[in-house]
Amino acid sequence: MWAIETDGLTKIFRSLGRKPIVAVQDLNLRVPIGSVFGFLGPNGAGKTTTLNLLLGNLRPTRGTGRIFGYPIGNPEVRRLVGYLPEKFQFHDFLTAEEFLDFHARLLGLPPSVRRQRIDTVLEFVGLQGRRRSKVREFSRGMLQRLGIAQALLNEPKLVILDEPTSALDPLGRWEVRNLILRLKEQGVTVFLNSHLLSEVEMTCDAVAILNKGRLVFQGRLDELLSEPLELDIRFQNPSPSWRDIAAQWGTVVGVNGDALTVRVRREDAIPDLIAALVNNGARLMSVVPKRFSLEDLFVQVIRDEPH
Amino acid sequence: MNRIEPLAVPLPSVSLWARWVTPVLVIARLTIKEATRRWAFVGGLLLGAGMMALLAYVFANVKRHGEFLPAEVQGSLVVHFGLVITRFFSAVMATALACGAIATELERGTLTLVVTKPIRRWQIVVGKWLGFAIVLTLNQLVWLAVIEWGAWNRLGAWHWGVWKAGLIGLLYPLLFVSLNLLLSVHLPWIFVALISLVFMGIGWSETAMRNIGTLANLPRLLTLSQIAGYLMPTGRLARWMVVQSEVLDLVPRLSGPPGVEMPQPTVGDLLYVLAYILVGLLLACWLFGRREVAG
Repeated sequence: MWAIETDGLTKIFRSLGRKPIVAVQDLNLRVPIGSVFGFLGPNGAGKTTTLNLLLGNLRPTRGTGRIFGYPIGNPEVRRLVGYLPEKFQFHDFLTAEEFLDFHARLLGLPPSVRRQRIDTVLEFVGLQGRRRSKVREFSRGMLQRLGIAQALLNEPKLVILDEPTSALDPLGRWEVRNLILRLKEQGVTVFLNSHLLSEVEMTCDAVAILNKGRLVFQGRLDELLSEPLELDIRFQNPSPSWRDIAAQWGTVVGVNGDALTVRVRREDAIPDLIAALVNNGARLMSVVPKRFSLEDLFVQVIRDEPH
Repeated sequence: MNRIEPLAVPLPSVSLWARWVTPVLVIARLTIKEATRRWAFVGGLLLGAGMMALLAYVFANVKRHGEFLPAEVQGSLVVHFGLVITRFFSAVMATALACGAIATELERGTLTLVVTKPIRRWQIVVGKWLGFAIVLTLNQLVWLAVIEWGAWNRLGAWHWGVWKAGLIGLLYPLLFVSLNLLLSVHLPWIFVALISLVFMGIGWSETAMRNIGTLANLPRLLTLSQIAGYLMPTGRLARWMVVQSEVLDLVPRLSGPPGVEMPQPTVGDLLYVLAYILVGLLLACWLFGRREVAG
């Protein structure tokens, strides 16, 4: 079973006199239970539409989805879910405590549990000292933290965060990152929709990349980042023949003076490549492996997509 | 090796009360809090009460043929026109409070977090309806107390007609709350408010068209008046209130211009109004349940 599972999930927006807009197309998503899952894509890729489909705010045009095996659209399944939308506005005349109490009541938490959970989440997001402050007095960062607090009230098994750090300064981002990792330690599945790829790289186990409504990549982040691997090889005695030798073990993607950039498909090809070069008389000054960042891969995946 | 499937995640058990009733009450509570801190409420309450007090003062000082009106007549006028004011102001206040209840709140983002909780859409609509109903009823009771005070001042006795008519008058803002909630599922507040004002005009025009149609013998206008009465049945409530306010014995002219007989209110009128309120509410629930929300 998966925390989130979709099969052919599709959403087409139709309106009179306009061309239909395919926001999400045949999405087959699998989010492992207990993982921190990064959901990536350029603006307009259909990420927020997908979230709205999962939460039952939008009805799929076709396809199905399940959260922990329960069909999406069933309001009861939201008892397992905590959600922080990207755009929200709180009832700012309430205090932080009243605001959380309102949401805890909506979640159906009994009074004794309610009080205890409010204390816990306020402490979790570091707002216990501001519990009686009006929400309108809060900075954007504090509002974001309060939003996260309301998403955690019901001890959710799945937390969906839509751009949770968009309003935060570097310290706030660091705090949210730690918070996500703490949730992971507690076995909570975190579905993170974020533009900040460095943040996703630091926190996520798996990612999916959406482009123009279609899933273009889905997999574990460590596997994704380990392959392919690029090597920058500098020679003391550069020769055109080294390029041909290197091409037998990988793809030469760049030649720069006395250096070659070779992309190998597997890590264990590196010793063979180096041995072949040395055996053919090459004197190596340096061999620097260059790992791809998520940003590199993201750009590559999006660029490789047919327009 | 057999792969071990993770255990199914059970849904938390929640009592029937917590599942079906609590969300409605929670939304109603927030609606009350929100409404009572708005200028539309505070201003409307004070303005309405002030106008009723002013009315009592004016009628106490009106002279006809150089003499003050008899106290009983003064009291009847205070009651009658006080109730007219409550009808007008309660409709305006209901519109002001409820016109942005759904679409505008979604637009602003204040409902975004609510709709993603384990709550049914109809619970949000019913909760808001209930909240507005409580606020407007309390407001109406304050106004009725001011009218009673004005009448008591003139009559020197308690005038039960204020409360009998006032009780029926409580349906007046509820009509507008249902209408506004229904419209606000899809429309922004400004359109809802405008349409609501048009409906208010249609309701008020029923009596005017009937009076003119009767006096000028214009059957088509009488038919239009009937249609207006079905589209917005405020005239039906107004007639009930006039009869129940017990002022016609002393000032029969308050039932309408000479030569026009006011139709006698029937139980059917009240049932129609109740059905109108209920159908409006149910339609709002259904439409909001079907509405897609892009957060």
